[in-house]
Amino acid sequence: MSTTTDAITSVTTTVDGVQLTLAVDGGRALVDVLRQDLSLYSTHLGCRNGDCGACTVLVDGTPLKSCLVPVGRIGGRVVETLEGLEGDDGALHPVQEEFLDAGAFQCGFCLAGHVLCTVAALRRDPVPADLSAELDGNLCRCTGYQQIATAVHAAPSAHR
Amino acid sequence: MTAPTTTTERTGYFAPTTRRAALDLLADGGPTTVIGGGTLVYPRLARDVPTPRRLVDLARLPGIDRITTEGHGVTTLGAAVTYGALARSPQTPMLLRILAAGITGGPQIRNQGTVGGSACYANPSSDVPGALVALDADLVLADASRERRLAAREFFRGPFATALKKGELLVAVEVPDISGSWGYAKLKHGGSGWPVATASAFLAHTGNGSISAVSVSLGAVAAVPVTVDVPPDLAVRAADADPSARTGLRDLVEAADPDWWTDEQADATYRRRVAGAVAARALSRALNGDPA
Repeated sequence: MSTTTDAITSVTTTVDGVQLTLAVDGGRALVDVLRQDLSLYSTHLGCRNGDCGACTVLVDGTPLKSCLVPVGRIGGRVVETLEGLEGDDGALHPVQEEFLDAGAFQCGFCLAGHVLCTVAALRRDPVPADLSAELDGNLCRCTGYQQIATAVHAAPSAHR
Repeated sequence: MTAPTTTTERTGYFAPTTRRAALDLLADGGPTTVIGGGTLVYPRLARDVPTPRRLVDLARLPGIDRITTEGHGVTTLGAAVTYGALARSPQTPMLLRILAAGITGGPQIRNQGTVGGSACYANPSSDVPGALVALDADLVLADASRERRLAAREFFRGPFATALKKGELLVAVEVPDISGSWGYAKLKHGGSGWPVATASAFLAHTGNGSISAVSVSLGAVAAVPVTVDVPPDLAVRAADADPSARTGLRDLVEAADPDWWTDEQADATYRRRVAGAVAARALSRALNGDPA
């Protein structure tokens, strides 16, 4: 039986400011394409279950867990990974600076989720009432939540 | 992650842009996994749980992510409306707005998980089935030749089982506008865990403001949601923590005797014992006008 729709095997998208056309099976998880095909390793792979948040990226500014996102879905959309926050001169993003100042990195595994969720929330509302609800999709195995909270709560002023 | 592929099993990722094209893909009845948001499908694919590798993603279907009010007392939720959209939209029925804001997994999951995907997955421990039954929602199912509407209480058939037929797609959920008071309560054991019990309490009022009818729909406690009608005087006393009324409510809930659910969160006996207490919390919220 013929269908009017072909399987998606090519995706044109923008990743960290670079437009790319990827020859990929559209059903692969975005995290695998970022790490295996594009060598973008700041997007970590933890649980593959949507629990830990280590694979968080922004898609059109919205935080998503990239282990759950079919790469075929990002055609025509803008993906930002933690690597993409770096300035042209290699400078850290202000939110990253706050994490550094607060000693909130620890092992660094959960960083993509915590930093990107903070950045996304501050872009939407530069003076948020409460950022903690924006971060509850990220698990820190080091249990360094106090330092993360310190960094996140300092971030609104740094972000401006 | 290699999938067993037979000569008849087709693989590939499809993102049709019309309902017709989506239904054409399903029409041959071949093994297919439909993706609403993806938050339930991708963990299965990663774990080699037997899952057809022909993936049909609904994300690009027109209107599938819309919330619309038709002006005659029905709110229509496209099947791929996310929890985030439900939580943000002023058009969302209040019970679903509360439910959506309480979905665990952070903004990442709330921005991707969908009400339709959860309904079709029909995990007994999910929030969605119980709430759709409480709301007396209709599920709009389409196949290549027709569209039909099925009440939520008919749609959920058992653990991970629905009335969806081969070749059929859930395209929307229609929620009637029912006037009354709502309260929602949920018990779960971990911040990031699945519910052990949910209760949606509904109070109907008479013209002079007294309570004319009370029902509580319990989710996550049984194979399918269970609705219990509660005498209004008992509901009021149970909400006020009157011990004998609490016992009466618990007896009423236990007497419904559904197929109590067991999973890694809690066993059937535990769920049976807590269902009444969670129902009382939901009733108390509905009565106090503080639904969440």
